[in-house]
Amino acid sequence: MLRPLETALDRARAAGASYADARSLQQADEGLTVRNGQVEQARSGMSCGLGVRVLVDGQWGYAAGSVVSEAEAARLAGLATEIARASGAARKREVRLAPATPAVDTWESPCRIDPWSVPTARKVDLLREACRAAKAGGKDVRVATAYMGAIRETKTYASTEGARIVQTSTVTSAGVRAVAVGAGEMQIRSYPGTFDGNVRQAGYEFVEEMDLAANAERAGAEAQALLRAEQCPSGTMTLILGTNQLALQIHESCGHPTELDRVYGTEASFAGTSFLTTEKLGNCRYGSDLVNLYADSRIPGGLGTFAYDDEGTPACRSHLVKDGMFVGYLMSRETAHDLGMVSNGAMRASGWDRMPIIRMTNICLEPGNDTLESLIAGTEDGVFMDGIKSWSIDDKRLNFQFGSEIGYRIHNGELAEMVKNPTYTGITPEFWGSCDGIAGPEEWVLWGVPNCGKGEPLQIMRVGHGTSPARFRNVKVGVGRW
Amino acid sequence: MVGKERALETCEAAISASGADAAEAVLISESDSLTRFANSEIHQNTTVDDVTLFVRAVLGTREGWASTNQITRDAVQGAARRAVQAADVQPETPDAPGLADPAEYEEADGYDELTAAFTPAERAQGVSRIIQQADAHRLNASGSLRTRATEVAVANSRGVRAWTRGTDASLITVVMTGFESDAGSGYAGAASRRVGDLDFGAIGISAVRKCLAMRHPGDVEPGEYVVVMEPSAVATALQMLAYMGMNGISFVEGRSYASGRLGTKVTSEMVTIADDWRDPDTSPLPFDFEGVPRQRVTLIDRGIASGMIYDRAAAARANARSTGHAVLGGGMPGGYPLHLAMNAGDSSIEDMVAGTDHGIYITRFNYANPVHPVKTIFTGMTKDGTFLIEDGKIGRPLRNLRFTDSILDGLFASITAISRDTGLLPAINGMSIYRAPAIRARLQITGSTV
Repeated sequence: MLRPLETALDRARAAGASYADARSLQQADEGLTVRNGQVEQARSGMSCGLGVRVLVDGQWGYAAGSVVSEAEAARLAGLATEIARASGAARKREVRLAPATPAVDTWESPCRIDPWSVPTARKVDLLREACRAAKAGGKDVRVATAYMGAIRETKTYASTEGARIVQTSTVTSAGVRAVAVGAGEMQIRSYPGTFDGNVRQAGYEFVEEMDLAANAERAGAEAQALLRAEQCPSGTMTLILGTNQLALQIHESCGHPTELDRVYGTEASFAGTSFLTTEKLGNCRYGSDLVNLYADSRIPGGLGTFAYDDEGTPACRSHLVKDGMFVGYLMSRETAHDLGMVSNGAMRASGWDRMPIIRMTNICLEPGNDTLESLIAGTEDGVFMDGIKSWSIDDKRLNFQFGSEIGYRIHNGELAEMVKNPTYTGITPEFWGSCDGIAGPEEWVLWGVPNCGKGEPLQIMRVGHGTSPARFRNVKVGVGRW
Repeated sequence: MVGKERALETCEAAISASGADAAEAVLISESDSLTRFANSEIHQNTTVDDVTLFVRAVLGTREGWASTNQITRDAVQGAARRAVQAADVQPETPDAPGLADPAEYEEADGYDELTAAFTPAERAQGVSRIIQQADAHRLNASGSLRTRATEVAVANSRGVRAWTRGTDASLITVVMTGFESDAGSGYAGAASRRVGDLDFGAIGISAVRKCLAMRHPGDVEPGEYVVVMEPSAVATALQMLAYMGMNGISFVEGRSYASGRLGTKVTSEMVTIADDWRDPDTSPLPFDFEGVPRQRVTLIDRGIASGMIYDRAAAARANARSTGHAVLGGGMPGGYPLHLAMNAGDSSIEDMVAGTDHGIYITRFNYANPVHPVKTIFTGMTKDGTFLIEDGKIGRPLRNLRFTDSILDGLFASITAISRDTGLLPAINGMSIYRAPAIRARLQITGSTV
């Protein structure tokens, strides 16, 4: 697979590129969806292609195609240099890259049971059993859907600086969802979480550990109960978030605003910018003293885990928020240079057909010293929410409004009645500043988010978030007219 | 691009190689170019050529899907084999409706040679005109210009043979005074199947003017306001409505706004919403991805929920006929409207503003998402051009505002004016496009940024 890449680099150099990298990808995927006991979709996909990125006169050009051959690689390199030269029409500055040590290496993610080795009939049986259990949760559970998927991709990377890297990753997902419908109301409960259940760089052992069938009935019963639950009250009160919901909160209000390309304005017309502008680095209070958030692309099984990012920078762990202070960004070599730093390896492309941009890796909240039980016990009047249902945040990542699948009122330190359609809203630093309790490492959960959208053309990226439940004071809940 | 003959031959080869009781093949070929600019310079500039073949194999009532982006003989046969394997291990699926029958399709040519052949240098020249407009006022311009050529072929073992090709072009820009919290920003954009329709100069001027007017925005209290919304914001509401309830399976299962409400009033009688692939400015697609002729469907007719879209599986469950809205590769079972439009009216933005004593002018929405699909509640932020309207005139600029409201029971129920002129807004995934007028209505504002 290296030969076409070498050809692309040679052709790019010959065409005047001062720097070039080439990336080929081979991907296989499969997915199974069972809906109310019937197979709704059984699919198998194969995709491969090659992308060439070049710097000519300090401007980027990128070309990609689905035919991986030396002749096509040469054509793409020529096209990429032509595109880069066209970019010079609006040239304001030259792109410079922070230094990097080119690596020659191979890496493979952990996979104990190859998902492709498990008979499909066994998978179908498991999903049908999960559907049956979810349906058994209540008479109004109209739709029970169980699903699993697997992706295996091998990425080969080469650069004119001498990097030669081959990385293979296996991703496995599974989950179940119950939808209850009645009296003009619809309620959903998912297990283990909302986005594809949960997703991990792992083999089929991850599916087995979930025990889908045993948990599906509870999801169905909760969806059923939500139909008749009271509407979440409106007001300002204490909020405790479960780990699935808090993963989304971290994603939207910490992950995205620390992407340095957003800060520098290169997503301004699409994904937006960031309130964490560079003069705030190191001297802006982001949250309470308890809040420590970090990016770690080395966590075993994380969807943002790799050995090298898509410009060859090694995986690492770095703090974004330390003791409540904003201390770090997610960076590329280009943006790191502009900040006078070195990259912490956050350049990722969603496929061979996309130019890498800054993406989250695994963005996590360090565990604290509490437990979910103690957080609830310390709450006089509040709401517990979990299960991602609705999300929206402004273009600077300040004003957010999120909704959860399920809520419970908390009265006098105890979990009380269930509430439906729970929502909450806030301003990012005020919200994190109100954090006064985080559960410990025993309750820390690693979630996979397989659907993070950014960039034009749109890139859907897989990223990870680890967190324990946490408590926030004086949060506005129950937004809007119901 | 593969071309009609080779595209259909490839589909036929896949069908033949499957050896299944029945089989269907869909081929999509695409050349997609995009020039992105930010900080008033081009920073991403790409061209991607790709082809994807989807094969559906049917064994009795069991169906399996496979895809590949290689169309060599081995790859096509491999995809056919994998589709059969996927079907073979399943239990019977009694509800499966099988494959579509052959049909006649309307002639449609949405292919524009200029758009298909638009070069990197021409794209750079186009966006440079916007950058020059911003430079003249020392403003920061960002945005993107996309040009794309696509062809689609659908064939099945029952004799369906369909092929079409088209092009599309879209341009957006956001011009900003800077990145500080009280910076101004202005948006403008346009879309067409012909890149020649895009007026780079006018779009640049429009965004610059709005940006200059947006400097030092202020606040308003949350509450219900009269709003005048430009087509881009209305198109986002249409997109949310489509996502929340325009799907035959959601409808059958009681998860759509229209479930149990067909024939009843669901919003203002001024509102008619239809899906119509014949819009002359969009790339026409006269059939769906099952090879069913695509129909014009009126989903809301003068405020009455009047129709629903279906793919074949949803139609079978609803005891209806497919409306030709199946989605590529079996994604989004039940169907999806790709060319959704709200009717034009007899007003203008100027008249709507002039007729508003106290209200808010909204250019576009940002990061809108559903909150409750059955109640059609959505939330999001205003962006790049939000102003107070006072005594019939555009007044001071406002910070980005959060809204949380029901599209049907709130926003569209309260419409008092609809513009004659309409605009097009492509979805961010490039798969669907929305045509919308400007409207005057009422919207619940629930917060603002800082």
